[in-house]
Amino acid sequence: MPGRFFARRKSTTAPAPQRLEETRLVVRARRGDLDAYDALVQRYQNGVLTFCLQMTADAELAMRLSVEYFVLAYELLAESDAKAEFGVWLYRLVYEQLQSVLATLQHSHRELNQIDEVTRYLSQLPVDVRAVVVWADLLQLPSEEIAAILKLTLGTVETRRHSGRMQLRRIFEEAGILRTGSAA
Amino acid sequence: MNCFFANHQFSAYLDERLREETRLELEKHLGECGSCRQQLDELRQVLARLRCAPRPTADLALRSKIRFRLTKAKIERPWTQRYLLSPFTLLIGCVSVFVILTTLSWWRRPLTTVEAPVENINVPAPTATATPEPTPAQIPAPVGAKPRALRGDWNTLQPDLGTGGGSARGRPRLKPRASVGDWGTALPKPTESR
Repeated sequence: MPGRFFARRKSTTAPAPQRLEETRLVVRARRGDLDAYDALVQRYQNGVLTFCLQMTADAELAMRLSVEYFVLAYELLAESDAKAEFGVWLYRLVYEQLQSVLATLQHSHRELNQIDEVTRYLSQLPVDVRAVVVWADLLQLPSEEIAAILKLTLGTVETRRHSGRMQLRRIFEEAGILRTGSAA
Repeated sequence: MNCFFANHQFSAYLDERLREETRLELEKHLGECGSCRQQLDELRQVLARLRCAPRPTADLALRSKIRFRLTKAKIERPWTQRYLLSPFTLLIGCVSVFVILTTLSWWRRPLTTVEAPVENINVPAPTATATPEPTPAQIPAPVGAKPRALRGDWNTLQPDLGTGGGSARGRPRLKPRASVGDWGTALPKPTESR
């Protein structure tokens, strides 16, 4: 289906000079250069923090987990797969680590009322679908990169993305926050 | 295109990832079906809300915390990670290879290249009892052997500028000065004493 109906899209990954710079930073960070790792943190901190927040629906926990995962990533960087891009590797690490946290996470009703409504509705999606929606629609990652993070085919990622959006439409509709009848 | 198929193309349509012909077909269907049009509009609103979702901006505190944790933990890299492929290591490696190659080439240098004045070489005077080594010319040829051409000593050869011989390019053919008729006449006899 994807090959037949979907147009091939230009890759929106980072341009070559930026990737080269990132590769240099990763090599330096592997050797123990904290300044280089700090530059990598600066690049990915917003993405990781947003991802953790939308997955856990808890701002304080998201901040704490982000720090933990960046420290863990630095420890594991020396043994990491050199062929994978750093962003892909980092998001995969965060996603795998979050699985165990989300399995035991339970929000009280009061906590859920304090967070943003989109985050609250997102938390009703299954974890695997939610992750794809957050990466694709909030962080604007290309589907190819999401497929690389999750080690899935592009078709599966597209299906999850569409499924997540349709489920959200239903949730929004039930919550009564969609304007109906505005279509021409 | 029916509604079921159109519904599955909405996401790709909003992301502008549909092929031209599929897109035209979907737009044609949307023009005819109000229900699909409404669903697409709702999906557009969902996307708009998602893109307005809060994206926390990490401040300096996050980086400071990470830096503090990494400094405090003193995570050490193994020396192979620290020094492998660093410019300093490469420089040291190149210098080492150069030194080793230079040393080897000096060590393997032939002794004949050492130039020393001839007069400084102390040659012991031959004693009366010492018998000189027999030259190849003095070794008797085996009975019935054919005389062979001289080899090895270019001092005894001279170019043959006469008729015949030589290469087509005019290079003179080298020919022994003495006729090689029998053994012992081609080379000068060794001197008895110095």
